[in-house]
Amino acid sequence: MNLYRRDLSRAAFGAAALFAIVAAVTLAYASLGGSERGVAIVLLMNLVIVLGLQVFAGNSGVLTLAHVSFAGIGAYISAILSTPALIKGTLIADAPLGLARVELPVPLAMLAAILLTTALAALIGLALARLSGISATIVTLALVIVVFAVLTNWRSVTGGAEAFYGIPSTTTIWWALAAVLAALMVARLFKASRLGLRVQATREDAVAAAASGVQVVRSRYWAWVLSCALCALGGVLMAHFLGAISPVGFYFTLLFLTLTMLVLGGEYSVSGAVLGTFLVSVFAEGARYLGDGPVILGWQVPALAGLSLLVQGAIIIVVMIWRPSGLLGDREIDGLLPRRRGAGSAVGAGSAVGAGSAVGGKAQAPAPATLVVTKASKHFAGLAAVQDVSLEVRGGEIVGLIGPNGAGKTTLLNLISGMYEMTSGEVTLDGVRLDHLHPHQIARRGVARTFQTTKLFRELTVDQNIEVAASVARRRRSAVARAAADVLAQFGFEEIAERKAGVLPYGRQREVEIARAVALAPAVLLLDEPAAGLNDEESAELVHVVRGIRDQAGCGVLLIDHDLHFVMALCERIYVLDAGRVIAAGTPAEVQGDPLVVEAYLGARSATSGATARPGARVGQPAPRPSLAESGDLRAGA
Amino acid sequence: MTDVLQQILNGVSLGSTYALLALGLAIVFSIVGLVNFAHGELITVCGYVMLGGLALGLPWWAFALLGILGTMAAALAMERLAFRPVRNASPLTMMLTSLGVSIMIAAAFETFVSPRVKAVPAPDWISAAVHVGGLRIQAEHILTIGVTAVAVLLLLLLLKRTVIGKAMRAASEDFNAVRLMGVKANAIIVAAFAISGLLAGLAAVLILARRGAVNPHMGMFLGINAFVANVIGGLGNLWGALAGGFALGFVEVALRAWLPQGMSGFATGYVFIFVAVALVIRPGGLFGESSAERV
Repeated sequence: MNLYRRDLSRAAFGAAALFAIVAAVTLAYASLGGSERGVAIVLLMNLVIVLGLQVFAGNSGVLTLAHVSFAGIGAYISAILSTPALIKGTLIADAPLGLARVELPVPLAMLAAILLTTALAALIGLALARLSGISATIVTLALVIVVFAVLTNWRSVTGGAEAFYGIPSTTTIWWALAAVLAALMVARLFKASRLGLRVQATREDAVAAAASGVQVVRSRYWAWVLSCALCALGGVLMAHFLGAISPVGFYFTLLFLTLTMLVLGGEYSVSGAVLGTFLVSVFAEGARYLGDGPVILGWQVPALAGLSLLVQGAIIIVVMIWRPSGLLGDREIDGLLPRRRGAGSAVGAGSAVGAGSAVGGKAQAPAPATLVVTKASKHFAGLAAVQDVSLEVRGGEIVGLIGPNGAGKTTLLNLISGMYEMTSGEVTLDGVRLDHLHPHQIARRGVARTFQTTKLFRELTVDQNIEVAASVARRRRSAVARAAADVLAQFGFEEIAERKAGVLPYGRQREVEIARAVALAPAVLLLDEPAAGLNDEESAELVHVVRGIRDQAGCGVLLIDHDLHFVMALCERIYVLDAGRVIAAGTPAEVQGDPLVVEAYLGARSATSGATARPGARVGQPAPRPSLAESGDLRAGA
Repeated sequence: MTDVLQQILNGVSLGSTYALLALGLAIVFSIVGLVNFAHGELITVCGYVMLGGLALGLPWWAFALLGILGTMAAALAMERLAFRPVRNASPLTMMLTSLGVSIMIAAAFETFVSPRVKAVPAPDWISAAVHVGGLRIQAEHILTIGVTAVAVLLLLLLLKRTVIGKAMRAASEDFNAVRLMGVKANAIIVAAFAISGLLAGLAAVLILARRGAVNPHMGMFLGINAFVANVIGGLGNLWGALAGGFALGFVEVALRAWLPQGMSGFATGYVFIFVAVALVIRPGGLFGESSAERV
C-alpha cells in the first residue's frame, strides 16, 4: 500500500539478513581460538567504520577521507575519559579540566565520546557540506593530517605520538556485533529513507536535484553527521578492544584499508560494504601471513613488510579498471526478495484515470497561479543575454517561448528557476517574489522545470526519480506514495517503474524528466525543448501529454522549442525572443504574421520580400551570432 | 631584517620545489581531468633510481640525470598501465585509481627494497654558502631557484610556441574539439605526463639534494602539498599552481620560523587548516573563478 513503508521494511529485512550472515561467519571464526577471535573483532570494528564511510561517500558520491580521523577522535575521547587515574597520572598528568582524574564507567565514556565527536563533525560539516567533488576530498585529506598533527602534538591531553595505554579493554565480540547491527540498520535504512534518496539524487545530478526541490547542502550535511557518528562508534570500540592506541593507528594505514573495503564491495551498496570488508580482511590476513616470512613446505619465505598494502593498492586499481562501481554496484541483499508492485499503483491508476480532479489532496494541486517576469535582464561579462524581458504565464495556460539560437530562451528559464542570479528585474508567482531565492526554494514554491539536455538521476529507478520530487512537495508518507503512484500511472510508467532511468530509451528519459517535474505538483511548469530529438509521432504524443498535465493539474506551462509545428499546435500564446529581447508576443497566428519575427528567423531580405515562416518547418541554425548565453549548458557542481 | 630576508629566501626556495610539483599536477589535471594522487610517488621513484645509481658507483650528476629520466618513464608507465584504461571514467574513478597507484608504489619499495630510510648523499658543494650581509645563500638555494626559473620558462615556450604545446593548451579548453582537428589524443596526453614526470623529477632531485635520504613514503606528503598548492591556485590553472606552490612554501617557512617553541609540531596542521578555510570561503581556489552556478 505504501511505497515508503514497504521500501523501509525491505531495507530493514536486508540489514537483518546481512547481520545474520556477518554474525554467523565471525562467531564461527572466533570459536577457533583466541587470535582468531581477535581477528573477528577487528573485522567487525572495521566494518562499522566502513559502513560509516558508506553513509556519506556512497550516497553523496563525494569521496571524503576523514572517517578515520573521527574514529580516532572518538577513540581518544573515550580513552581519556575512562582510563584509570593512576595510569593517567604518568601519561597526561598535566591535562587541563582535571581530565587526568576523571574516571567514567566505560559505557558512559563511550557515549560521551560518540556525542562529542558527532558534535565536532556537525561543526565541521557546516563548511564541508558546501564543498563538492574534489574540493571535499582534499579538505578531508587535510583534515586527516590536521587531526593526526593535533593528536601527536597535544601531549598534555593525548600523551603524544606514543601509545596511550591502560584503556579498559571491555570490547567483546558481542559488543562489536551489537555495534555492527546498529550500523547496518542505520546505513541500510538511511539509504532507503526519504533523506537518503535525496542525497543520492544530489550524487546523480546536483543541479537537477536542486531543481526538484532538494536542499543539496542540507541533505548532504545530515548524511555527513550520521556518517561521522558511525565512524566514532567504530573508533570507540577499537580503543576499548586494543587497550592501547596511538595517533598512527588512525592514519593512512586504516584509511587505505577501509577505503579498499568499500571500493571493492561497491560504495553505493551497504551489502557491498559488508562483502568488501570480508574479502579485504581475508586478503589482508593472507598477505600478513606471507609478509611475516612463514615457512611453507620447508621453504623460508622472505619477510615482505609492505605486502598487505601492495595488495590493497592492486585491488583498488583492478576494481577501478574493470568494475568501478565495485562487485555489487548498488545492489542490496534485499533485492533478492520478490518484488510486489501492489495496491499502491493500482490505487494511483484509479484516481489518475478519473476526470481532471485534483490529484491527491490539497497539498498536491495548488490553486492556479500566475507567473510574472518583469524587466528581467542578465548580463554575462558585459554581454546582455537577456534584456528587459517581461512576460506572464497565467494558471492553466500553455505559453510558448521561441527564438533563434542564442536568443536567451534557456537563460531566461535559468533566471526564473534561480539557476542564474538576475542582473536586474523581478519574478513573482501570484505576487510573491521568487528572484533571489535558491533553485530548491523556487521549486518548492511551485515552479518546476526540465532541462534542454535531460538531467535525470540516472542510477536511480524511475520510481525513485519521481519519489524524490514527490516527497519534496508533501509531508505525509501516504501522500507521497499516492502522488508518486498517480504520476507513474498518468505517464504509463507502471512497466518501467523499477528500471534505472539512465538505461531507458531517449524518448522515455525525456518523459521521465517531465514526470519528475509534474511530481512537484507545480503551479507553473517550465519545459526546455521537450520535443528536441523526438520523432514526429513522439512530438504529437507529447502535445497530448502536455495538455493532459495542464488539464489535470491546472498549472501554467512555459515551453521552449524549435519545432514550430509543435509550438503552434500546443501553445495558446507565444513570446518571440531575439538577441535577448521580446520582439513579438501574441497568439500563434499573430506571431506568425509579424514581420519582425520573420526577419529574426529568415533574415532581413526574406522579410522584405514578403516571405512568411512556414509553421511546419523546423527552424534550423540561423546565422552564427555570439551565443555565450546559450552555451551556458548547466554543469553539475559535483 | 636580515632574518626576514633569510626566511623569504628559504620560502622562495621551498616554494620553488612545490611549484614544480604543482605545475606537473596541474598540466595533467587540465588535460585529462585526473587528480593524480600518485604524483608524489614520482619523487619516491626518483629517489630510488638515484639510490640504484649510487650503488652502481655513478657520480651524483649522472644518477641525478638517471633519476629524472626514470621519473619520466614512471609517469609514462602510470599513464599507460593505470590511467589509460580509466581515461573516460568519472573523476572519482580516476582519482581512486591514482590512489591505488600511489599505495602500490610506496608499498612496492617498502616490500622489495626496504621500509627503512636509505641515504642518497648530495655532493658537498650543494651546502656551500656565501654570506651577503647577514644573509646566508647556499648553492642549494641558487640551484633550486635557477632550475625552477629555467623549467618554467621552457614550459612557457613549449606551450606558446610549439604545435604540441598549442594542442595541449587547446585540449585543456576542449579536448574533443582538438581531436576533431586531427590531433591524436594519445600524443597530447603522453606529452602531458612526460612533462609532469620531468617537472617531478627536477623537483625530486632538488628535494633529495636537501634531504640526502629516501624512504618509501616520502613522496606522499610532498604529493599532498602539491595538491594543496593546486587547490590554493584553483585546480588546473597553471599560473595558479605556480602561485599556490610559492604561497605554500612561504606559509610553511614562516610557521616553522615564527611559531613559538613547542607549537612547531602543529605547523603542518596550521598549513592545512589555512587551506581548508580558504577552500570553504572560495571553493574555486584563491585565484580560480568562483562558480557561477547556484545549487
